[in-house]
Amino acid sequence: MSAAASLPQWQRREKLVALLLLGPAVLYLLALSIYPTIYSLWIAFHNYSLYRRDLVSFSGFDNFTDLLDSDVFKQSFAVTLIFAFSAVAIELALGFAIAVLLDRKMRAANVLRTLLIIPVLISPVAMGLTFRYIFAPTYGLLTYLMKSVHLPTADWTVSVTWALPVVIFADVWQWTPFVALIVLSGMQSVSTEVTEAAELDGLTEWQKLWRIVVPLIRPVLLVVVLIRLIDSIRMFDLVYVMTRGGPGSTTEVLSLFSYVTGFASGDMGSASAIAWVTVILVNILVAIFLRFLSKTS
Amino acid sequence: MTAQQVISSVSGDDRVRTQATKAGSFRPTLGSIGAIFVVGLWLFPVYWIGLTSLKPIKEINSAVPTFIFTPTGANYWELFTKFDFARVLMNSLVITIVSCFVVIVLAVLAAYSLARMKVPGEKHIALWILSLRFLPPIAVAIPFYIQWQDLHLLDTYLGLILIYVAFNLPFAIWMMRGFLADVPVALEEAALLDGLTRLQIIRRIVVPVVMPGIASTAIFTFVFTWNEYLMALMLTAFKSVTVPVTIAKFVEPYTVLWGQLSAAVVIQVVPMLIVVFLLQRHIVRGMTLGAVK
Repeated sequence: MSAAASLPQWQRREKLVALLLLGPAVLYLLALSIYPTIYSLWIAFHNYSLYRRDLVSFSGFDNFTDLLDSDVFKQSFAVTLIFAFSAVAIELALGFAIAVLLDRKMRAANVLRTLLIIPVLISPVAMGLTFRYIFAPTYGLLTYLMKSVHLPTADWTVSVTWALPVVIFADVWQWTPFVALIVLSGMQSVSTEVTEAAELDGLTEWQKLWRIVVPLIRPVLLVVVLIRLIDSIRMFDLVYVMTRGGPGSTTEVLSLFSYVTGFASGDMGSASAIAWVTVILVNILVAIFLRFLSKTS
Repeated sequence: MTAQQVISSVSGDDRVRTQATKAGSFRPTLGSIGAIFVVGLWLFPVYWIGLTSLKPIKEINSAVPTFIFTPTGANYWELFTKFDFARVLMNSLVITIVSCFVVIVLAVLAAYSLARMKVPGEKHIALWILSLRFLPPIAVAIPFYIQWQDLHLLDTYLGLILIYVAFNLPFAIWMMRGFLADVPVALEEAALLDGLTRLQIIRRIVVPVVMPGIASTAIFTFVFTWNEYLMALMLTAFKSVTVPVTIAKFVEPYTVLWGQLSAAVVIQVVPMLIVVFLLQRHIVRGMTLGAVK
């Protein structure tokens, strides 16, 4: 067989092999990610009670318009945004500060960086409950500390004023190290030549940080903020174990609201509509950030 | 500009600064002390829950926190004798390990195809896969519950494993694609000329070379699956209940069994600690979807 005739055949076989290797994963995701997502959208447009599945009927946009009339939904929507944006803002500020602190030549730097991974790997369930113990009213460590310096204390996780800040606090505690580690690795990828040139130009440490390093690591900052915002908007476990959405619905984020609507009242239609609000929120965020990112470079 | 370009541009500069910020002779010391203090403070809750797991009930519920006491193994003992924790631990281990294995096999094959071979619409497929990483679990939770009910998959290992593979696959493919892109193609080209098939090349040449990448992808899948709560809460009842669900069950309406709870938390955290110290180098890259090397 001549080389000219065998080449296209070889290419065709390569293409087939490529599709056979990629195929299983793509089919798996179509069946177990895309199909359930579309199914969920279908449910959102139906009257769908978990307990009367023989009575499912098309309801158009009713589930969505009902949400717009519901005060609980409005509150849940607001709580989700307040939770996500304030937690991520604090995490970014603290994480950045810790990264600056760790970005230095010191013998313990590697050990400290490794230790800082630990909070990230602990389950949000464990983290949430640990803080619930620390914030407990009579035997909690925080209550003891507040009392010993004569500050007023509260039953933190069941207080209308404090429940949301306490949940944000726990989230900040868990994820600040994540932000710090990523910002730190971004800072360490800034080349020495650039910073040395800045020093020759007589810039102070502070000026170097804000004028040289921050603009250079902007894409890293944007990626980390995006990842954190999306994960906070989808958040369920930390809130669920700390407050169950209470008191009232002061900490009921959208995921929790959807869960309660679906499984406590069996109203799968509304629950799916709420879940789809989070899907839409996440998509809007991704679109905005991609726009931002493309502007930076 | 696509997200992929963005993410690769983030990692564009490979020159690692060898020398950290130069400063006066006094400031680094102060800064080092600050760094140690901050990290210590951050780990305090972890230390506190570990301490609690060794306390007798009287110390746990004491209004004045105690740091010095006679440690007891009673909480751990009760966890295994009264709460059947060994079975729960076994459930979590089986579900997590099987999920990791399936994810890695599917991800390595798919990532190889995306990184090395010509696939029509390759970039779009890669981005589509990445976008699934951001799908809110609550959106698929309800359909899964309904379908699993019909298929009798509620409260089974298989029911959870199928979902965990779907949740971890996008991230794993994306990560493996990054690791594979770093491997020089010369070796594989030589093997192709020697007449090895693509599958043989993957098994004999690629897998040994990207083993660190496979290990860190497996770790992330492990951590996610080991810690996952929402799906396990909804889709298990008794038979295949996992560790996080059990931990949360120690919170009862009028009382919380802090002793047993903290012991269970410690047991849940231990595998993570082992993982961190074994593979710390690869973890940061994984956390950013490969955005930072």
